[in-house]
Amino acid sequence: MTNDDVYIAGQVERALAQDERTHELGVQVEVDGDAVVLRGEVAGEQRQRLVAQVAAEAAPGLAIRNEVSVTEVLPPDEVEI
Amino acid sequence: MIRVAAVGDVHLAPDVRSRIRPYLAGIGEQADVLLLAGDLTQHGSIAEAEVVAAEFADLEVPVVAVLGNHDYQCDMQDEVSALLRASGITVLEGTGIVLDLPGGRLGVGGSKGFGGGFPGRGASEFGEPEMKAFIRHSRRLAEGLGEALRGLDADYRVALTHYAPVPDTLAGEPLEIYPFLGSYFLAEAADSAGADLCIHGHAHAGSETGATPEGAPVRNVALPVLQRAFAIYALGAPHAAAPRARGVTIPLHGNRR
Repeated sequence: MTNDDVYIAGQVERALAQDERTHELGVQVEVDGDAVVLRGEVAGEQRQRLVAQVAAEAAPGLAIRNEVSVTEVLPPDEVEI
Repeated sequence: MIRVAAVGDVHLAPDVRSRIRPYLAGIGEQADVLLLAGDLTQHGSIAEAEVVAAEFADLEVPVVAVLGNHDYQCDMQDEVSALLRASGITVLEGTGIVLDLPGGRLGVGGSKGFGGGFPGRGASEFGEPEMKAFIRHSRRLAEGLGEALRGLDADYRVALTHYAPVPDTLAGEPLEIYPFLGSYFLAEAADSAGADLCIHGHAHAGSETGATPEGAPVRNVALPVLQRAFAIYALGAPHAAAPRARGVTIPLHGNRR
């Protein structure tokens, strides 16, 4: 990432944490050429779409590559410790 | 034996409901209690708390919770706690509860906890007022947790927090953010009471198992870590595999003071 890319990534990361449509603290943001790459997990499909939307607004002119997935919830295992 | 089911960081809201509910039918067959390790909502609104209340309503086992940082975002944490309590969930903050279960008396002491980091890589109450306030908040919540745990007349004690008490269960998170993920004050509080198990969430990219310096098992039950609806841990199981801490096998037993 170039120096400018670092600031853009920081701006997107802040937007994802603070925007009331997302409040996502666990999404990793990286600028790769003319695209913002989002990675991590969120709890639902609507949130998966919204992280891309909020990121796009925070980084106008850049493409969004949304690699964020929805956390899968499996049945509980047996007793463990 | 007492079977403790636990999960954290469910981040429920009107757009994300029934994440855990499908797996709660018949939980009484699998566990004796369900612990919720904070970040029950996405940003701590009343509408979201109502979804949480519905998710965990009318279960066969008692439900005990602490709040997480997400549950504070709307500055309505007191209202969120009151709503959850009205639906039958016990919400702890510097307080504890003793549950008389078939396998014995289970004491749960709880606090959200806070950050500050771990010995050698942590912050102190020094310098700017903001820095002092940050660490003071962490210290006071941990003191509340310790007092709550030590006051429990129980066969087993569980420390329930949102923030992590040890760095072990943060493995997988970037090292740079550890001071925002937990504080050793919480482990110190749990060990001061001879806690038998520490349950926490918050660190979505962390790992499940660790131990306090005194050898109490620590479990990170954040849903993205578990990838299953909840974990079930046995206290006092005759043949439970003992966790390892500092190369030493630590058996689980009650009233370790």
